[in-house]
Amino acid sequence: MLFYLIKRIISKIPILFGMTIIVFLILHLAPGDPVDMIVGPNVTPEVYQNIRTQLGLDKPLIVQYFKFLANIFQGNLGESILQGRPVLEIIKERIPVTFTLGITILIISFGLAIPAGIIAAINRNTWKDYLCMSGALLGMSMPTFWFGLLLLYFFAYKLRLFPISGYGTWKHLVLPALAMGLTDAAITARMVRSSMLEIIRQDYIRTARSKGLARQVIIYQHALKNALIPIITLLGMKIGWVLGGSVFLEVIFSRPGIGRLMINAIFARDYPVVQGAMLVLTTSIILGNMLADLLYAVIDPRIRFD
Amino acid sequence: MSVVNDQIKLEEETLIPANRIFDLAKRLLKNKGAVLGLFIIVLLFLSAIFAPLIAPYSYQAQSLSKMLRPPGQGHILGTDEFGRDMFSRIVYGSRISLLVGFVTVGISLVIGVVLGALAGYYGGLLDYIISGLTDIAWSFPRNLLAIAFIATLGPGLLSVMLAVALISWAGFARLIRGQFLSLKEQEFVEAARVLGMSDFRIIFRHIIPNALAPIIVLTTLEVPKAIIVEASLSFLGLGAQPPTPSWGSIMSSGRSYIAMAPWVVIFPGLMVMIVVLGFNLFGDALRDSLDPRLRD
Repeated sequence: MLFYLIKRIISKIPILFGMTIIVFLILHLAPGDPVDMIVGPNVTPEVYQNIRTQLGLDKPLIVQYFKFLANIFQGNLGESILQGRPVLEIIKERIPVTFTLGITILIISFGLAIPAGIIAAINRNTWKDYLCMSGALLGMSMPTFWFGLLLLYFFAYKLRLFPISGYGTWKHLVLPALAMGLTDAAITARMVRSSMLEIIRQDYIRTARSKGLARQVIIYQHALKNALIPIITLLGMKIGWVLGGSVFLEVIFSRPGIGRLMINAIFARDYPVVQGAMLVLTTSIILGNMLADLLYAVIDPRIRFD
Repeated sequence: MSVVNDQIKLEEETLIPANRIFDLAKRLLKNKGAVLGLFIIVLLFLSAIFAPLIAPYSYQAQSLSKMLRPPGQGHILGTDEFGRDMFSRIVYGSRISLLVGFVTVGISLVIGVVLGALAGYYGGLLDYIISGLTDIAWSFPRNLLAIAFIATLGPGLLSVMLAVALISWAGFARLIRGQFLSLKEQEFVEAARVLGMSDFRIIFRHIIPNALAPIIVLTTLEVPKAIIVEASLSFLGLGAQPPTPSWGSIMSSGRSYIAMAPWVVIFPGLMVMIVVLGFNLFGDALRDSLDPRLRD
């Protein structure tokens, strides 16, 4: 198991480096001069040169990249051009907002998808199965941000059951979490169904059935345990999907999270904040994948005893 | 001369026969989902091609006296905050969605085919490098990566198309590499090699035609993803800029008026959903028809 975990952790290293290169290049490949972007074109040549030296832009690109990397390892993500504060400090304030939403979405999504997928699989080709599959197809086709807007219109503007925007109470969390939780549950249920169907056809399920075991025992003790393995992998993948999608929800529901911070920073050309937000979001995704790998190893005895 | 004849004979044998395509079409037409999906796709194409004939108004004709009119009264889907006809803007918006969907998938398909073919056919160090790159690109969340590219390139429709293409190629590369790995061991490829055909000819005349089915399925399923990403990015203001009538940008500008004029947001979003549903229905049916083992 230890060997498996080390292998999985090592496999993430190139991805982490790839991510830092992309984030680093955001500033350097953007059209125009980075100093112009930061301070505007109306500065004296001396000030311009000073800022260039200060930012290390007079050094070769590779040197700049390694300096950027060294700064990241020291927890230094630079300073916001707009707010004049350290980027890490700004992001730290927003982490709880984004993560609370992300975790709630995952709970709703998996909480609904696992029972729905199982019901669809064990009632294959019945109305329950068709309902689940139709829901999945709709969920796959519906843009999350649009569903969020519909919920906002009906439940906040029309019925006034929930606040229109903001952050702080559980009521602020319901609509954005449902917007993505429900659409995502539909897609996840389809995958749970496939996974369950594959397991149900295995020989050991037939053996359990021929032994005369109760249907419930077969489903929950034999089939579900094995069907959960690919679902755990899915959970790891979903962390990225949810964090990527929460950007849109934070904009619609005016939640002061990392995603909204990043979008505002793109428009304000506050590149250090864009880089910092991107770095934190993508690192969280990679850490989430690692966590899924760990869970995978704990649940699957074939890996645990390897 | 006989080698040339053998080559021609082999190429004729490896190409997909017309009766297989006919069989596939027959199977698809029996599937209600496929027919509905195809109907939606055809309608979308017709709407994009004949937009000037279908739309009753110009997509940018403003009329401040008709601001935010509800559906009806000469405007079947109402008007937006500048009094522009929503139906006309949505009809013209289908052009942007189709353009982004097909151009981006086309670019990512070319990148994916070239990289996947090189990795799968030649193997070794080249495969190791390309597979590593593909895995890295595959591991990134699509939305975030697209936003990163746009942060670099600056907002705009062209940036969105490039960003979506650059985030989608990894799926094609993985699929094509897998296909090449299994197909290059087949006897007909061995035969082509023995006949002295060039690698280029073997790849494009023999292997790719045999890998076409899963490539077509993936293409059909990637187009709706590209349409959703474009709509989402344009909604954030990162894609098509006003007055270009992209469905996402119509929703973006209409968002502030949602309380009094929900139609400005509801109809373009509904269009995205219907079109994406159409491609998904057709793609799913195509996959089932080409490989029934994948049905679950």
